[in-house]
Amino acid sequence: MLRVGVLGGGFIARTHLRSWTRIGVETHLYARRGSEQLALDFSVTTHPDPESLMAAVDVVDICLPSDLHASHAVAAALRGRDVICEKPIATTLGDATRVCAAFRTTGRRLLVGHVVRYFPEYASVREGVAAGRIGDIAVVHLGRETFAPNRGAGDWLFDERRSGGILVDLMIHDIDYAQWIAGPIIRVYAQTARVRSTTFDDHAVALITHKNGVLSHLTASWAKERPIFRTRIEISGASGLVSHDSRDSDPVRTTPALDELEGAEVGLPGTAHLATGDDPFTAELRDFLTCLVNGSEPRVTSVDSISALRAALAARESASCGEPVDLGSSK
Amino acid sequence: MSQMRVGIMSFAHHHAERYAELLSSMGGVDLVGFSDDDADRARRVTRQYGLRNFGTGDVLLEQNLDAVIVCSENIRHCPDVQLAADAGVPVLCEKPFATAVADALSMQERCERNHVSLRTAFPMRFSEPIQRVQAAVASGRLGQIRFIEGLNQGQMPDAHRSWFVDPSLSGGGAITDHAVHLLDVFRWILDDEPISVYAQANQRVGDPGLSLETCGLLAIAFERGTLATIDCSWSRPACFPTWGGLSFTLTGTSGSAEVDAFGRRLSWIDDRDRRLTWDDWGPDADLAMLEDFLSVARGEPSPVSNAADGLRGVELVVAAYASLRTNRVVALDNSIEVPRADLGEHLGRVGELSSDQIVGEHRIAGLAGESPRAVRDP
Repeated sequence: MLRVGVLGGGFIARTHLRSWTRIGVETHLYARRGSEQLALDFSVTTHPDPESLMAAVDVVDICLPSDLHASHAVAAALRGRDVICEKPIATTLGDATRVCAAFRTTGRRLLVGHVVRYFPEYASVREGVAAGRIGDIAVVHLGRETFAPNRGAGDWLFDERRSGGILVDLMIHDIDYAQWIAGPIIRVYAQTARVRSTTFDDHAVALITHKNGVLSHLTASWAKERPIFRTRIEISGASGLVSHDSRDSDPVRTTPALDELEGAEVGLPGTAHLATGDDPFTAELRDFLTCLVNGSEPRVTSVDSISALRAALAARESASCGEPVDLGSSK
Repeated sequence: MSQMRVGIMSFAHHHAERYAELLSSMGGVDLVGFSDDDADRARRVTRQYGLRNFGTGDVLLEQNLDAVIVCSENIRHCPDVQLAADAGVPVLCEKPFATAVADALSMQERCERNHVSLRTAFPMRFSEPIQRVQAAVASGRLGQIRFIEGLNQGQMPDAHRSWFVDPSLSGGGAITDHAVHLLDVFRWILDDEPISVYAQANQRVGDPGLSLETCGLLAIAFERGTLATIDCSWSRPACFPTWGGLSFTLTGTSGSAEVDAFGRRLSWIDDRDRRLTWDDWGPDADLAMLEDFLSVARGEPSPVSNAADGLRGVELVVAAYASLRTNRVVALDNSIEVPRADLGEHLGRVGELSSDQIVGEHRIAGLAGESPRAVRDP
């Protein structure tokens, strides 16, 4: 049985552990904090440090704060392990380049968890668009709006130097989806601001121009009321239109709300909790595992994850200088 | 009160048909007739609405009119409004007000000189849902509005009016057609002025042979820090249940608002024409706008909008096209003063401009003692 080692003890680590349990692999865990509770909730072998974990597994699954992705991915590659890494691949292009070099030299494989490609509504829209159901794409609207995760003010997520900020942590999901739908991005204009928070930018808007002329409008927000997590897609084409709004897609609405998210620390889209069949994280990790075993390419590649990061960093540059940023000129 | 004699200059813009319907059923209004240089269209209008065709604008304006509505092709707004001004007839001009800033200024100046009321057709200031959200923002309950996400998308207009996609008549494509309504709404709601615009466009919907933009995204920065984005694309498919829509989301520091100007919607499905159709059953903003225009034409003051707001729209569109050419943010001048309240007779006092004033890359000659040189966008 394949052995997977999760690095990290937070919300995403828990989400991955739930999936690994459903998939059925031997699971290992290292976390600086939180491993005791996770060990109680899941059948895992805990380790005292990352090196011990890496020695004991075949695949390392990085669920750490974003600024720690690169160093741990490189360490795992040098240790001879394949790596699954949560998005973003890294928080700087320099780190991303170093990661790629390490995997190229060692011949190990890196899969980056841009999970939105595995949400059934997102995959289905992409399939229909690729099949020509709306003709040539013209304009794309994507929205991802939720509440700020319930963490202390000093948490890494709200420290732009550690998480990359809302553009690199949250909007990057839709940046990757936009490139999957409409192809390479050549120009980004973005703006971020403090809406509800007084300490970090919690709302962002971006205008993206693709190489083929398609225009994408992206909104990402941590400024909504809990327990909202609303995702929106609208894509218009030369001969049609497709749209999805998670707000109108819940097949069950109860009063009082039975949503287990009411007290949640972090929001997830409602469709993440499909009880039967694969939830998106399980679908993604299952696909990643299959690709590692078969040597095939998954739905999202590490090359995709780098171009998504490049565009997200260009968005951040645009937000700070107030001008659009052309990609191709930025290294 | 005696009937108000009203005329319509041209049915080139399809809104003229709506105005004709509304005016025909309004009490106290005598829809005297129209002018149109398209003979086929004129015949159809006469057949459909029973209106008298006076042929040309100047003949129509000789009919002792109390008010006239200009619905000609965009580039003809300037000469048509000037004709109305010279005839001393109060005029409501379809949007976009003009296709060049110099034209907009000369229209205003001509009306001011002749003491003629001039209004731009911005019905959204009369939209009841939008009025409600304007009041909510003004009350401060939503806090500072940091972002606005606006949608004013429509169908390709060449299905009903081919001049829309002929740049020599329209002055431009989707940005010219659809950017100005939301700009005006945002200026009003925020009580603020735009200071820059970044625009991107494509031609990925519509006939591939067209030479103007059919899709556009704009990002407009306002002086007090709001960033408003507008999708003004002609991206609604031909079989969309309605012509398009106008909606926006305000993200404020104390709250947010989602507004759909046409949100009072009935869905009809008719198997005979195999269509789903959306009807808006809300109060008619066009009717409210016409009633307001007619009261202004009678000399009564109005708290809503004025022709200088049309000028702001033109400035924005010109700057948006400059942004398309450079792929950069373009600053807006705003040195032309827009009065906050409309006093009826006193409109957009333009003031003196220096002879090398530049607005959106278009040089405008000083108004003092010199007729403005019309500058067209390429």
